[in-house]
Amino acid sequence: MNNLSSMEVSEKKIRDINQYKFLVFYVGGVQYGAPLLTVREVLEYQQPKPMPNMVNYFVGVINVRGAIVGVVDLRSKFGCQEKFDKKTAMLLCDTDKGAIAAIVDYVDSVVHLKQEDVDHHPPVQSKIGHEYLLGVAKNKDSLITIVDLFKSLCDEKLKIA
Amino acid sequence: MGEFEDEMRVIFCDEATDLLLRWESVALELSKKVKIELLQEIFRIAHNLKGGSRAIGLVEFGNFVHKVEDGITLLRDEKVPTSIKCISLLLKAQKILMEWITATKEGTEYTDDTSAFLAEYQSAMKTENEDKQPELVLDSDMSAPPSQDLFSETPESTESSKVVEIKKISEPPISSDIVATSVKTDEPVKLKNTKTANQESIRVPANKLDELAACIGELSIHQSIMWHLNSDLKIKNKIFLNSLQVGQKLTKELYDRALGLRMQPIQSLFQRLERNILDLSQNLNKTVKVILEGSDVELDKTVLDKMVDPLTHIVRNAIDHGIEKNEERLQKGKDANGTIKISAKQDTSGVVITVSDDGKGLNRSKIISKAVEKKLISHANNMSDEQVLKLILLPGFSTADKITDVSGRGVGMDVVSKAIEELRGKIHIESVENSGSNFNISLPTSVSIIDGLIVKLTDQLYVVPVDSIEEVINLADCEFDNNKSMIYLRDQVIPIQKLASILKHSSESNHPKNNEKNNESGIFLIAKRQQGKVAFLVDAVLGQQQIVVRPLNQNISGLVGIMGGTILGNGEPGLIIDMHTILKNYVAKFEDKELSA
Repeated sequence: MNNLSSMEVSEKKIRDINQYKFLVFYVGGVQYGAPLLTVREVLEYQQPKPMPNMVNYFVGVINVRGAIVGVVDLRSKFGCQEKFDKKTAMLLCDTDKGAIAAIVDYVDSVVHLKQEDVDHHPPVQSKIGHEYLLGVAKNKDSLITIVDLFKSLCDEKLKIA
Repeated sequence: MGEFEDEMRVIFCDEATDLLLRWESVALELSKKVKIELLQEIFRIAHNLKGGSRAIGLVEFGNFVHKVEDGITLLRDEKVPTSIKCISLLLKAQKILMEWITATKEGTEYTDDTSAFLAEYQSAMKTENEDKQPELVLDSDMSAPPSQDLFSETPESTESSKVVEIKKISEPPISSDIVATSVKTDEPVKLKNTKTANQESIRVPANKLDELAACIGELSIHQSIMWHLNSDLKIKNKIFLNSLQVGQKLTKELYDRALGLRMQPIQSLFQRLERNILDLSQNLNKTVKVILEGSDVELDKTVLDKMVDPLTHIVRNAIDHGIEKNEERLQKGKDANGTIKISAKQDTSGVVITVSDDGKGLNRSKIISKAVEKKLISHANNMSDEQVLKLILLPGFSTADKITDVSGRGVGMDVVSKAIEELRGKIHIESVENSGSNFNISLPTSVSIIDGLIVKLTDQLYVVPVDSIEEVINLADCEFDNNKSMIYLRDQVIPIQKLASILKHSSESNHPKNNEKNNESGIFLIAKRQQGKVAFLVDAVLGQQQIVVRPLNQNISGLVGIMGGTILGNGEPGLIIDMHTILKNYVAKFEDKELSA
């Protein structure tokens, strides 16, 4: 341990602390979670500008401080009802292919879970594809479905043409 | 420790690259006129390279430079006359060193054998030493006062006269100032170089400049949002309005300056071309004179980098296929030396680069028969000369009878048209048989700002680059055919395409009515392509403005028909329509269907 510089130690600390922190949000009335560091920021909902020749859950592009960012409506992607109200929010994620935003019903909270509460290979049936699941976590008396936002947002071809 | 060394190595490599480019330009200068201060400069460059390389432990490199430097010393001290052969050897040494530096920069060992070159180099520097006795000439000239006439009276090209010239310049030390000024007056290019050398400069990574430009771009967007807001809110406060106006002016200036940082004189590109011409013409035993004009014209660095390959292709083609062998030229009554002229000039829409040669020109019937043979066209009836000449830009076209390693694999000219298309430039070819051909390339000065039409299409705003549109016509002013699938415009029949049916929105597929409505109003954008014009129907044109192009990230890029995005004046994102790919991908498909039906 003596070999590690103080900076490396603190970096490792931050990683360890954040590994079991999750952002909890709702999609179609169902509670989901995503590893906190996969979400760069939470944005207020803004009307996306439609883009031609894209799949229906890709709803358009928005202006995030001068950058043009694509938007996926997670509700229609996960096959849920889309409703818009004051709480509707966007999660901005930095994927390998650049930034992309996801529309969710609303963002609930950030929870800090214990390692033993997270099951990475749950034998569960879910409404959403298995490939988007990272696991299921126990939070007090409810269960949170942990999703891989990167995969959910850009694993498929978004373009029709 | 290792990191520090890596950093030192990168710094050295960057500096060495600069020095070697300077070496190249000085050597090219020497090939036109031998001057003692040019030799001194090459010596200085070599000396700096040697010092720098030894400092970072590149001993082999240093030794090589040292041996080259020995030769330069002989040239400089006039122990050996500076012949064309010596200059080409100096250029060869520069090429080896450049490759060496490239390898070093990539972290690999340079392993090529340099001993053969060194042997040739050293023998060249020696034998001529014995042939001539320069000391005599030097003595005879010692007393002559230096003056400008001395330069002008020396004829070019013959070896002996060059030797004489060197002696004349190598005067007692007091003359050095006068020599320098006289050089400045008769050579503008040289003047520019001395100027830049005196200016202090800082090396900045290109991405930092991009970040700066992007940041200021954002600022100017917010500035225009404020402006829009102001007209909505109708604020009457004079101080507020004033400062808003001043702010907008300053932002614009800031933006222009940030973009200006990326602009570079075209000289570096010209230098590479000149070097290429020199090498190639020697290989092919043709003598070619190069005329460069407008090397101080500035272009965006991205544009410059992308133009290297296309221009090299054009120039190589001109030497290989255009310019005839010396004997052939004499037979035709032309000057035995061929001439290639490369010029750049600023024009209202950007920069125009022209490459012209006085070779045999492009042969219309040869092009047509080749194009028919390669099944690029079925016949050439009604084709204008310009259309025929443009055939050489198609992929897979090559008129060279034999495949040479210079040109003639049928790749090349289509690289030219592709690169130019990518930069949204235009190419225009002219050719007169037996008197030469002329390639005219117009390029935008910058790739990040374009003039755009704001167009309304199915309730969405899009941007269409102005330069991709020939004209804009109101639907009400058009004459239609019976099916309403064509319009008549000044005796031309132009097919109609609905842009909305190409750029489809997924939500609209549920409401097919949307596509049907509005048949009574609309605007046609007329776009031109090789096979004729096409009229694109849009709902409305709202205006024209300068658009800052922003690249789309990988999640959303690569859509056919969309070349980028922008932030419009109201703060909303807007998509920029790429007419070229739409014409290529959609319109061509529709026509194929019609033909086969």
